[in-house]
Amino acid sequence: MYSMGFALKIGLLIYLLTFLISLMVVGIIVLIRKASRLGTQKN
Amino acid sequence: MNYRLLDYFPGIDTFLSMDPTHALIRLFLILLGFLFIYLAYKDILDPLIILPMGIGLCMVNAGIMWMPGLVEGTTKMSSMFLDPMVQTAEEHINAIQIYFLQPVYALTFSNGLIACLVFLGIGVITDLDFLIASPALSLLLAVAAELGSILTFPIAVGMGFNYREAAAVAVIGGADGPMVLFTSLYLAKNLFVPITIVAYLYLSLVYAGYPLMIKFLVPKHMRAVEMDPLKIAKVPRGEKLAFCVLAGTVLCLLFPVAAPLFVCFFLGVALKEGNVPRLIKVSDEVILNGATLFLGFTLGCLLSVDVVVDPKMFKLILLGFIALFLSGLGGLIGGLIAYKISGGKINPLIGIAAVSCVPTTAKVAHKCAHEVNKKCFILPYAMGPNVAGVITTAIIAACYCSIISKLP
Repeated sequence: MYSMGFALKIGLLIYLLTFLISLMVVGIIVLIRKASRLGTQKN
Repeated sequence: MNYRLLDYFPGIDTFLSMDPTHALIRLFLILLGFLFIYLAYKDILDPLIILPMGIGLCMVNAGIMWMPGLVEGTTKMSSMFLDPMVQTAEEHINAIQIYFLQPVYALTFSNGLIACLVFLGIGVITDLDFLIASPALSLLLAVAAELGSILTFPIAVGMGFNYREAAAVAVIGGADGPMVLFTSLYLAKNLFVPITIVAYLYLSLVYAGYPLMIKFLVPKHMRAVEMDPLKIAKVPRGEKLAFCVLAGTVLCLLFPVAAPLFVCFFLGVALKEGNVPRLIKVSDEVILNGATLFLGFTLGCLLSVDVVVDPKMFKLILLGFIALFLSGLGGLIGGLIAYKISGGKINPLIGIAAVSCVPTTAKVAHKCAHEVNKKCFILPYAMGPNVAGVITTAIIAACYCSIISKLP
């Protein structure tokens, strides 16, 4: 009833999702750093 | 009145009245408790969790007596510690009046609160500097170190677990105790005790096991690569606070299932970066230490004969090993790739620090590098992937909870 192949596909899908969300977190950090630098320059 | 001498010593009476196999396992668990206490005392296993667990383990299995059963007129063998099998509200109220640990179990374990409290404390002691300074490297290493959390899932299904149980076991690969507790409570409540105990046991062994893996897989000259801690860019507190508010909100938006974990972790970070000394002190010294004490002790008290005789226990021990081995391997492969791409400027050992388990794996990476080169000080660099590992493990746990709970 429980298929190993299907589980592997789900696992890989979750890995891909984790990778994409991690990239999004990287994007958030880069945006915050840029905004912070812009604020420092204006001051 | 016909009294037997054994009536005065119910602990021994239950020993002699038990099925001989169960009595032997009970004796084994008491001895295992002694062994845990010894290994914790010698600092071979993490004393913070293993010492209270060992105390609970030997004493709960010694103190078993005849207690009134749920059905009137019946008796059952049980300790005065706690009964995890209660279901209805009436049973809960009765149990709270009998078992001294029942309030802790009912109010903090069965809803995952204890995992969240530990996470709050972890947030307070987390240093975000290197993660913010080098986010791409930290998070990519952390993704590589999640190999065990992904590959253990199909392996567990192949070994006969259903999808929910397999996902709960796979999260051991993230090497984050509170996350394993939370996921197993959400996806496989029937297995949460053995899964969590296996997870914490292996997490305690990481300190001894990963250095061996490093010595086998990473050549000495690569381990000796120096990284100057003074080169890490200083990150303003405001940036770190902004990151935890934004990242926390977005992750809660994406995965409401794991929102309690995210909110507690980022609340801890926010307290630290928002510079609220009184709340930092209470979160670190009171909440984290208190939650860790009750976590270890209650887990030890939950490890009874019934849990150990479950045939799934042996498979869980094997899967826990596979998960952490694969995650360590993934982290090291990530570290070696970073070493090659950077032209030998990045010490590959920071890859194994990405296997979460804050801050143990970062310390392991630093210790192994420092052993071969006394000038090597990679701890501040290792903390980046280490913290990123907490975030990716939370994401994977949230994905499992969201996706697997929809499967039949």
